Amino acid sequence: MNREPLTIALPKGRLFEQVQEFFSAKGLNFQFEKRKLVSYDEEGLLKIYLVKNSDLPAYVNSGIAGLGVCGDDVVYESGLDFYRIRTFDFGGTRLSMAALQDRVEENIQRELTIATSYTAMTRDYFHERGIPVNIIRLNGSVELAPSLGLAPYIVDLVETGSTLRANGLEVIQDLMTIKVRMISNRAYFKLNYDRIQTLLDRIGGE
Amino acid sequence: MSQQLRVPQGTESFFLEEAVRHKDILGRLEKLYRLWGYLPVQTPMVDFFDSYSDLLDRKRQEESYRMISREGDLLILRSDITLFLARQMALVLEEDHLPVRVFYSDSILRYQNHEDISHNEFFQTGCELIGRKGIMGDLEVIMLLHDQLTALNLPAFRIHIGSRSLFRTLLSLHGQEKNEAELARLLDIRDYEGLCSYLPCEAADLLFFIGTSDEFRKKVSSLSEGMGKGLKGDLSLFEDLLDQLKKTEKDTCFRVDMSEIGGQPYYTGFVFQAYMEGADRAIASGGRYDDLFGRFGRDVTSVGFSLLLRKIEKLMEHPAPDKPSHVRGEGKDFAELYREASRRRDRDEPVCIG
Repeated sequence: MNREPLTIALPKGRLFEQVQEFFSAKGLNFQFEKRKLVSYDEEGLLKIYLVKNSDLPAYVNSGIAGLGVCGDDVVYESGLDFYRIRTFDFGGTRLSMAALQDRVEENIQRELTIATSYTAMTRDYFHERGIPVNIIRLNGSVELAPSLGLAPYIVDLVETGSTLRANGLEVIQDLMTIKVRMISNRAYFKLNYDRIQTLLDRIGGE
Repeated sequence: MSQQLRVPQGTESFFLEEAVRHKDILGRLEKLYRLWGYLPVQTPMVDFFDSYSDLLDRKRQEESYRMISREGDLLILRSDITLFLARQMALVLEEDHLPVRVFYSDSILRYQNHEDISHNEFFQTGCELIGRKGIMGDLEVIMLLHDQLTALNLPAFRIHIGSRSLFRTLLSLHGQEKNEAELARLLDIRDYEGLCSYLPCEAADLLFFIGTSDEFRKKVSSLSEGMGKGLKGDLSLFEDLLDQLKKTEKDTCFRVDMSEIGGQPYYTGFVFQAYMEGADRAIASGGRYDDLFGRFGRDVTSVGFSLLLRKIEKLMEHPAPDKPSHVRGEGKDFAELYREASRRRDRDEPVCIG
């Protein structure tokens, strides 16, 4: 069986720094040379690919990266299935619905128009509750949509809520909790379960 | 967009050297089926959707192509040969002929997301052993798969064996029968926390077990008295199966994997999936489905597997086909060239005229 380093995709951006810090605390140290997107940890246990957050599921699904670290939102929006082999206690957030502060009291049990980057989660959440929903897909700066009149509601990831408040918005309700997890390609996990388990034992957690 | 440049998602064609390789590999597999006493069967391309609707989970239903017949019936294009075969065989089986051994090799049609081209689930070959109960049938089928994969000289492969019946017994022990679908889903994504919200963590630990048969025996001996007693029947059958596999002395590629419970709800007994280096998903799956024929009016047991051939073909080393030579000659007419080519073809030499 394959004894090459385990392959893992990590997302660029803020989450990467949290993952790097977490792994470092477990003795798994790695750095990326400037502009390089492939690296190894110092012990040679991991071959690490640095990829765009939303592309991460594609790499794990294809098996190019056997493992990956990303939020539930990224997996859900990809529509792909993975094993969730570890849940981390950092990086968690909420998917929340928000509106301008003077509209939060309105009844939402009717057809809604929502601007969001998280179209699959938003659609499924409201459809499962029998609420019709019109979705406007935006790729960023979603908080602008209500004040500019594009949509009265938004669905977005909320950590502290400060960005919402700065744009005159207020959370109406939380749709779901988003956790950061280590995911695995199914076949890769089956063929490398012993080495993956060793890694999981080392990094700890549920 | 021009229809001439598009093909429906979930279909494919293959040509020339790739087609030769496919046929060669299939020929090797079919030869081995015949050596094990299995005879070929052909299933129809299309059947009534209602015959299968409660045997397909939501995802598999969504992946299937359906259409309305001229008489107004909802039809389904062949998306899973196991189901089509069970229904067809149920129509023609005779008790006196049991057990019946059959194999199939044919195209299937499933929707494939254009952004996810990794499935390659276009062609199934597999077998059914109909009317043989117990582990003798289980062992025959799993060893046939083992021999097929070995004969193809695949890169390292492993066959993971689990049990749908043990899973169901475990749920029954803890009063969770009605939550079978949800627990199967949680197990399918290895959500340990989720499983522990329904079952004792000892049960979740058992369902997460993957290891060799010796490691499995250790695991079984460490189970609490209540768990061991409740699962005694299933564990005993499973350990008999492992004993027999060990005696074949070909058991190094097998793993006990209690998270394998069969992808479809019609499985009733032992189940398995095969994995190989380089393939992003299981390349073969199978198991026992003793109630399946009953759905089609025949009370007869069955066990089998299907192999997704297109997933493995590209990962196999296979020599390019011999290029044909040519017979040519200035002034020679076709009949002369034909006779010369025929002489060489009699020696199994591929020859083109002209």
